[in-house]
Amino acid sequence: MPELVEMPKLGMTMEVGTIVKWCKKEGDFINEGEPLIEVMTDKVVMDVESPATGIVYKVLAKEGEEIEVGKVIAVIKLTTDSKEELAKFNTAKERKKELGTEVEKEVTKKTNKKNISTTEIPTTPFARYIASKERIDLEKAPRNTNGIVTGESINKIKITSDKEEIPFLPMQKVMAEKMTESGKIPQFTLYYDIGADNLINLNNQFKKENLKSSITPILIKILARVMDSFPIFCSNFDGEKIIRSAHKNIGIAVQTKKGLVVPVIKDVDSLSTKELFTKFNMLTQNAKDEKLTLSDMEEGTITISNLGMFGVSYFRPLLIPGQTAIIAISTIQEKLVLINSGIFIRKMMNIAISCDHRVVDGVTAAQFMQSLKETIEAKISEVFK
Amino acid sequence: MRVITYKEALREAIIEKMREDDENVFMMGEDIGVYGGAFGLSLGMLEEFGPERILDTPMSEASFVGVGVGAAIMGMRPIVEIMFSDFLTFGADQIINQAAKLRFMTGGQLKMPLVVRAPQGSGAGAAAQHSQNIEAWLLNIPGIKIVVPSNPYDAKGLLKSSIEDDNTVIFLEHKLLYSMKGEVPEEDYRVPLGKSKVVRSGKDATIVATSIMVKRSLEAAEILGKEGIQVEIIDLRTLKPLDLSPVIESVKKTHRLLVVYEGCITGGIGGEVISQVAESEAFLYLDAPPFRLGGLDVPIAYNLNLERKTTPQTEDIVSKVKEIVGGDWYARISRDA
Repeated sequence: MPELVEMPKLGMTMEVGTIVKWCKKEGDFINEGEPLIEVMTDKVVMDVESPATGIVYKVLAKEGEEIEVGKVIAVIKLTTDSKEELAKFNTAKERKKELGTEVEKEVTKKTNKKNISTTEIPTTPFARYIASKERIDLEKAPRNTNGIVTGESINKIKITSDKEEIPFLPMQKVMAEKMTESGKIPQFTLYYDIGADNLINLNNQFKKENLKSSITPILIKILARVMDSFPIFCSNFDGEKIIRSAHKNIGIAVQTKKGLVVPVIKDVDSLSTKELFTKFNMLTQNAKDEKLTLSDMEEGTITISNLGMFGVSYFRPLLIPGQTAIIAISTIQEKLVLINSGIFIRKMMNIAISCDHRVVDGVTAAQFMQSLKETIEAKISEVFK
Repeated sequence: MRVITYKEALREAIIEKMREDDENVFMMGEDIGVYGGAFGLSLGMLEEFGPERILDTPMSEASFVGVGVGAAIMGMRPIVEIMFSDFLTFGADQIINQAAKLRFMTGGQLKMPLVVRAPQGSGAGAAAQHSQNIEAWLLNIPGIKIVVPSNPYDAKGLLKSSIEDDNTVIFLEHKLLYSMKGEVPEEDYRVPLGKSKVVRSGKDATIVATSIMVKRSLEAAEILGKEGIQVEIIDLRTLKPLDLSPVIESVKKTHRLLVVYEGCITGGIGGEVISQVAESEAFLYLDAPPFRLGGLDVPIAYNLNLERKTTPQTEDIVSKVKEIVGGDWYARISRDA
């Protein structure tokens, strides 16, 4: 039975998806799990992977076309498929609407997916040798025009030229678009040097209590507390109107192999410290494992970006379009500080904020940061009572 | 450098060795004296060396190969010419059961410095009983050496080494190569037995060839080169001892192997080369199955067009290499499976 590929539901609110690009054309060989289509929702561009290994038998939607979730967009021919089984798809273009309903039946019928082990992929000894030496997953290795993995097909990219075209991943594309958009937003940045001794002590104390603590989630909790007095930071702006939320949804910038993602911790103030740590660790891990769902990345109003572990002294973060502000955390370092004419050694860190100037003015942002500074330096125990 | 033919090069090797060692080196065979040999290789030798050293024999390979074995046991260095290698079957017992074994059976007390020269191969319209390539029969005999020269330089150097060797050497000359011209120095030199040679460098595929197939592979390489395919060619030169180290190194570089030989494809040198490569480190470097291109498993036809079709020609090598390099072999093996 041929495998039908339908427009997937990539987020809770997704009803239609736009075909950005077909990664394969009719007649091409495709592996299970290999990208078949790039689909764009209102928020992200995502790869839709082939559900089976076989030949792309029919492509039923054009690039740029908007397709309802659940409609069949492609047919994958398996090696076991007979001509009879495929016959009904030969006029599939005309029957696209009918196919949409047929999918629902098919989906329920869909049996357990076949697991293709690497031994079933036609692979030359040389390809296996390179794959084992360079830790290449043979299932994902490029195949040649005959559908087999050879050393040549793996090496092709390397040997064609000293210049190499690096594939621009869909996640990078989304980030590129967002950052280009961000560049157009009038934004300003304020920098604050903040004493971090209490912060470090608290973190160490949590660790002693066997909590999976780190600086960023502690700061997230402090941030949420400060936002109580500055509800403007719970807003989104769509260019025309400011929508204030009752929730404290704070984004975390996470670097993954495929690019930067920003999962959002929702209702931060409703979580206990322990719950917050758990949620933070889970989201960052899921981001690294590429397991985030679209809804994990929605509804943030402010984001934290921490580059402290890389020794950054201070930096200017770029707003995520739609959000009100982004906080930049730099490295914690010992400094000589003058306090009441006395010289002291203090652990210091720089925290910066970039704000959308259409939503927040400089004074509001400065007051917000002053409050944040005070809380971190002097009132931290109140937050973590 | 001086250019002479393959046949001339062989003549020189025999004449020079006979002049050098007039006690022990002599040649015998059918019609090699007065007639000058079926291919004219020994013309004039009777006049120079006399009937005791250029011996015309009766038409009985069994007896005169036996005479050669006896002479070798007694310390002489006989060169026995078999008019067509196909006739070697008559002398097979002397070669297989005597010449190949006596050195071992006497614990080295006897030496066997016997050279059996035999022209072989197709392409001359000589039909099924005068056109065979018999090296595959001989490959299975321990105790002998097998030499298959592909050009005049090697022919002379290898024949001298063969005459000087204390073991039985079957020296298989290709009939169509007798007229092949090539550079041969006037100075004395040897080509050692048991050393194969890279005769052309390339990166896309390795062709292992013997005898006339080296020439055809070189022609194929020219054609393929114009299409951007660079093949490396290795001339085995001797089949026993078989020197595959350059082949293994080459396959590690090109990742593809084709063995081209004129003898019947089944049970031939191709299977042996491929087995040994597959048993070596080169196995890990194969990016396509190693292939054979050999003669068809049929008696050679008398009709010249059919005869041509029976054995690998230049264009066959070209298309086989393209299949291997281009990847179409996968369609073939999938279809065959």
